[in-house]
Amino acid sequence: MRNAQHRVALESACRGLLQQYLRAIDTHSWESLHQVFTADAVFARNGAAPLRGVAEITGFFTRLEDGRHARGERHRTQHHLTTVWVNVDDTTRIVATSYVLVMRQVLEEDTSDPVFRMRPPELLLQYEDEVRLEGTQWRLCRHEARHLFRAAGAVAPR
Amino acid sequence: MTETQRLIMESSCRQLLGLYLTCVDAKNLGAMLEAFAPDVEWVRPGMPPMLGHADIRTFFETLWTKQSKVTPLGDLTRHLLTTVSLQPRTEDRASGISYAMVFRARAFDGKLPAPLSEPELIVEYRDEFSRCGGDWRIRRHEARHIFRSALWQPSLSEQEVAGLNLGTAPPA
Repeated sequence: MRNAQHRVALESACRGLLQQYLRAIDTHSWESLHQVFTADAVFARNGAAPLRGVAEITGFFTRLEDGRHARGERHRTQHHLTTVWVNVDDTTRIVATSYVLVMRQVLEEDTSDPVFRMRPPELLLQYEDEVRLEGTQWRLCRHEARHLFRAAGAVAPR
Repeated sequence: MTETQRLIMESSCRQLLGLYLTCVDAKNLGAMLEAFAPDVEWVRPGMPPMLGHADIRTFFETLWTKQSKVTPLGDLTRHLLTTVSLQPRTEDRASGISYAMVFRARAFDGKLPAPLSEPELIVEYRDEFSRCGGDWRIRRHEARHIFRSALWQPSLSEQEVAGLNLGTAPPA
């Protein structure tokens, strides 16, 4: 059993990594994912082979965004991190379960309007993450997103 | 309470809420009860308070058994904890108010993703936390329905609630 201060630090580190990951997704800051994932991280995906290593993960998101640009789409998202529970008592692995609500707006015309048009959430995701120390920094070494609820008309990312 | 103690309290209480909600969604009763003091009082709308782990176990086992008679997996739920406000009271006591959105797919057939519609409920939790033997636990938990969708239905009927015989189980 870890002491109380260590448990607080772990919980804070996990929560911080998740928040950093979601901000990277929402701001399309793919290079900042190097501060979120270990070099050999595994990113499990719904119905597709897992991505292995932070280079593959950033490559996936870069290609996703390039494809959307090529189709004239601009996606704005806001990933809301809600329930988080970090199993700080397991001394062999540090795993976290969290729920994320995804708001998405697809812009087909160029606009500088910073305000999202209100619509219902698109997705409710459950993340299962494992963290590990890489040097002196905590990083996600395994990430899995399960699509639990999806709004009618929403499609998987492409 | 020192700043370090306050940080430990806040983290511990947030973790308790996270444990409770992820376990209620996973229907993991044994792990869920670890978030609650043995003499917890749990207040839910439309029924007498549950007192202690035995009452909580009776309620959830009855509820999940009822749901499983419709489909084996019962309902798929996710309780999304959002705003959390925690206040220390003493070195060993704290209180909290938090908000959650509840999403539900009734009679879940196991196929993901389930259809996403509006939240069934937006609830406010009022909790009293206490520390005993170094570990924080929820000592009193009250759920209030603040917004309720037309999709909402009571978990158990009045007759089913009466049949729970809450408060009659011997202390653990």
